[in-house]
Amino acid sequence: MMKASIGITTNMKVSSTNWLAENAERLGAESIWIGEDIDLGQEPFVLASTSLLKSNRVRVGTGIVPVSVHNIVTLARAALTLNEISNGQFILGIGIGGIQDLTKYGIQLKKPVTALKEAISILRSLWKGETVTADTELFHLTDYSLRLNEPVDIPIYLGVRGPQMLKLAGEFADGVILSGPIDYLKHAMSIIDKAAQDANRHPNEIDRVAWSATIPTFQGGKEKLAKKVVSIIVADTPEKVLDMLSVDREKIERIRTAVAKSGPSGGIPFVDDEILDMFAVSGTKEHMVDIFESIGKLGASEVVVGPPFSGQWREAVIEIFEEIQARM
Amino acid sequence: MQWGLGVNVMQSVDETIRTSIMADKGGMDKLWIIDFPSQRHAFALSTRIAVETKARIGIGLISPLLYRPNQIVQAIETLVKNFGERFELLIGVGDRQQLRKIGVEYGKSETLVSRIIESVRKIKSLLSEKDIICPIWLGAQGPKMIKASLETDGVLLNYTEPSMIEWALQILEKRPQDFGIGVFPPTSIVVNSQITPSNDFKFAAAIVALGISSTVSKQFNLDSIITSSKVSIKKKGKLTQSVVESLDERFLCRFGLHGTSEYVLEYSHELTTMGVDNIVFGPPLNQMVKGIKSILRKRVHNSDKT
Repeated sequence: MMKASIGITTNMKVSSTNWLAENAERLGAESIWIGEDIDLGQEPFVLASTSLLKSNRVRVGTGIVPVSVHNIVTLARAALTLNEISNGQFILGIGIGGIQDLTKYGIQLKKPVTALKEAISILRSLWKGETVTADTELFHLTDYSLRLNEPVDIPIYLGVRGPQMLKLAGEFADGVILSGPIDYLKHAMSIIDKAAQDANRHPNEIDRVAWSATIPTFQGGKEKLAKKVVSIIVADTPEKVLDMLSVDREKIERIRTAVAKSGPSGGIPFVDDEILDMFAVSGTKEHMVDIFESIGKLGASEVVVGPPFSGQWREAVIEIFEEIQARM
Repeated sequence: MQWGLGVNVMQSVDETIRTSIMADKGGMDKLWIIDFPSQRHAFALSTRIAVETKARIGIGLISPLLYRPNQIVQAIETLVKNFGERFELLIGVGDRQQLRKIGVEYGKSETLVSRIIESVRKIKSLLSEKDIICPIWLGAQGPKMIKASLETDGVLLNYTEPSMIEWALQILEKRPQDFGIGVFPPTSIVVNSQITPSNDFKFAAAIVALGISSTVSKQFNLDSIITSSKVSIKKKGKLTQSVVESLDERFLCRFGLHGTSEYVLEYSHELTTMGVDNIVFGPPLNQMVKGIKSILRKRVHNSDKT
């Protein structure tokens, strides 16, 4: 049986994220994953730090912080700090960032795959104590060193979707955070496996964390919120990923057009049950855990519960984890 | 007079926590968590310090050239919501050479001060919208930045020598009554005044001394002393040991506080009479456990003098 973890974002109330961190171990969660909603809500590294302090023995990882909106040295320093605070229980999950966010911040990357590969290389070099010089599309370091007395080894996970990015994860990352429909996840796992083998790595070396939007329809869960979240996901899903799915592309384009025009709420009317089921884990606790088990059978080592959190979500989270524990 | 200790310089997280706990228990009024170019991320580290101590926690120097105003406000808001309104923020430009190493440039010098102040205004506005109280200090050395600090809650001057502080205070003559005036000297405490400053102290003092603007250098007739050193730094892209060694110790001690705990207490008293209300003891004091304990004990013993 795969492990289950908690997913949160920076755009959540402190009282909510604190409750989840304080109860993570009791629930049986393996990790807490923190997604950064850029410039919204809590600061991701302070949130990671408070989550570590409140959850005691649970791993905490970012899932993800975009390398495009933080100086790479800030990421290196923050991860170093959190690694020490947690005695090695921190994972740095990075990605390029969602298409919507990059557009909003005027970031245009010609070679995003290359940029992410460079990020991994720079971070690992800095943590080894090396002096780094890099002048690339996104990163500009000149003879910079963290001046470490001893090297540190901090796991890097990639939050990625497209085939080239998945290949990168298989070749270089310690883990990958995947999101999307089941047929996409199956395809993604095989890309990662092949890339790992081509790079003389054992596929088991790469952790697979499956994180889809989870919307309980018991304990007052709101479908409207779920559809808003799915709108964002659909708007951010690369074309190459959509090409892997058997989905009505016209429906997808209507959602994307609406979100581009009016933001995530604009996509809500166009998200029907088919799209909701395709892009989220939803339903009763039994049905949701059935889906989690299916995802586990595909090769995910970890599934993530939440967000969004709506209705009596604390009770819903408790019930979902109880159901998971009962099946172990 | 409020005393603060700068921590998180060349220290592991555990070392910083131990130093912070010790300083807090000894009566240090504030702990200032230093950010870049320190190795550890001040905002993330602050949570640990907030849990382990009861002190007021200052964070900085934070440069808006490295962090966006939104990011700075998010961090402060998250800290305040978790630990209460016990945080203060030091905003400043940051060390030019160090920022350049990580791809951050000052940009046009004519607009640097105004850009920093614009960021401060944005931070203040966002904090106010969110109803978050967090005093903002501006790190300043040159006359423009010192004057601009009047838009904040206080200035932390990059000066040690009383004559330089006096000059800076003239610029701030028309300041509000509750405006904070502080200094942030590199600090080293020794058991007797004959002990020469350590290399760490000299390096820290040299960074300050060689970072002064041409205006300040001219004001205090320092051009002849520092010009060649500045040229060397520009050429090599960093401050080297040979440059530090070329600078006279007495000169360096004008840009850092080196002496016995009695000397520090007298210095503190002198600054109080000048109108300074905050001293933040900078590195390498954070690594001198005995030094920290001795100045705090001295202060408690002589509490009527400060």
